Amino acid sequence: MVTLRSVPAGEPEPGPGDRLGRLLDRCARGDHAAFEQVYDAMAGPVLGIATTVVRNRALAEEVAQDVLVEVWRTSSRYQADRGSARGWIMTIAHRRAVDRVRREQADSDRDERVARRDDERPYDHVADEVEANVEREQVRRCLDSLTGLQRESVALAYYDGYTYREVAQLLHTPLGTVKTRLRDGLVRLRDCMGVGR
Amino acid sequence: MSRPADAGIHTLAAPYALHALPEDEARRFEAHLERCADCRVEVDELRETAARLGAVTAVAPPRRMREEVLARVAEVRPLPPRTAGGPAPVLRRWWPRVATGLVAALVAGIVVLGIRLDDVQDDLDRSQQVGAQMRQLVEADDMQMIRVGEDGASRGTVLVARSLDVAVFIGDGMAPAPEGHTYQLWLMHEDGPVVSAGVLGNPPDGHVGPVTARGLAGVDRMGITVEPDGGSPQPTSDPVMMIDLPA
Repeated sequence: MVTLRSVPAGEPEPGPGDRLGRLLDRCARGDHAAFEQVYDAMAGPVLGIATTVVRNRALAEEVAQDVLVEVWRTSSRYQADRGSARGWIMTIAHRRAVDRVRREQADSDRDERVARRDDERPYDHVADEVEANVEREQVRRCLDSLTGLQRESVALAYYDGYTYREVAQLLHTPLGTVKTRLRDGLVRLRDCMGVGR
Repeated sequence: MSRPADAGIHTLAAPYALHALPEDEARRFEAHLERCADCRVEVDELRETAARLGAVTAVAPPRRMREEVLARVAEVRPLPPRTAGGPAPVLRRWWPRVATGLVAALVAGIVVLGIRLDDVQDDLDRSQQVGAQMRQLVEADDMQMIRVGEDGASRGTVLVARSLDVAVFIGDGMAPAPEGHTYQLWLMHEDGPVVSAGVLGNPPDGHVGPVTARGLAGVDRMGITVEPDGGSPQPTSDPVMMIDLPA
């Protein structure tokens, strides 16, 4: 079972992040034992975000595997001064998942996804599946501090992988408003979670 | 602080960090990031924030997945670190988005053919001749990359786009040809004829190209042979490298 640790506010690079960063450093030198530890720490979150964005479990697993191999291969490119190792890995995972879902979009029925979204609130749904832990509670609390429209915009973009233009259409909202909401929402989350330097 | 012209683009940091920009806008924003240090900090922080949103979605992966990933990793060598004075700035500007697009278009091919995007980028980095033509090639919808000799001393990379009728060859780690000899690149037609695509020389550092070849109709392979200086009208020796081109 994957264990997430609590992240005290005001610490952009908590202990586990430092440890992961050092492990990535060893991966870059070809240390397979280090990668196994990276895998054990990050396979759960990587598969989680891939599943959330892509929805299809088999596709999500493909994406997650590709991401983890990519992490190994590009481990020398991680720059500790630009953020935590976990953040770096999750950024790769999210981008890959979004790329995948946009590619699938050409042949699959986007409308179906939109329809399903209505009875499947991303972050509640996600929260149900996740082991109770302090970080999840923090994220939930921070999401709750957003306005409904900010939360919805951020969730559609991040958890569902829609472009901000698509978000604007889904919410029948002008583009400029959506951009503002995404920014205000994310900045509020950042401050709430204590990310920053 | 920011000029009015830039005011609009600053608001894209959040959608960019969320991967919520369409390709063309992501590209423009990346160009902006190059010269906006504040924006880079903001993007880093917002990405870190988004990562927290992602981390709470964690699920327990199947045991089988661990074995599969470790088996794949066992066959992959991590990329070398970037070294100082590395990639040309012009490359930096366009590569990230190109890579994203390529990932979207070619994930399957990458896995099957063992193509390593970043390795190719490294090859491109080393070459100082990346220009508009290369950019056009790399952005072509049907662009494919083929790598050969991954395990040997000499490695070849071909970027080919049939829609543009262009293939570009980059060679690395080529052993010096015997004195008075040169490498030569050939286009081999499926029905037999072999046409020279140019003399590659005998570079002391073993690095060749990028060399552009045109006229790919009916060509299914590229080959490299050692020829007497100045090249030959037809190959006179067995190829030292053969590259199958995709149809």
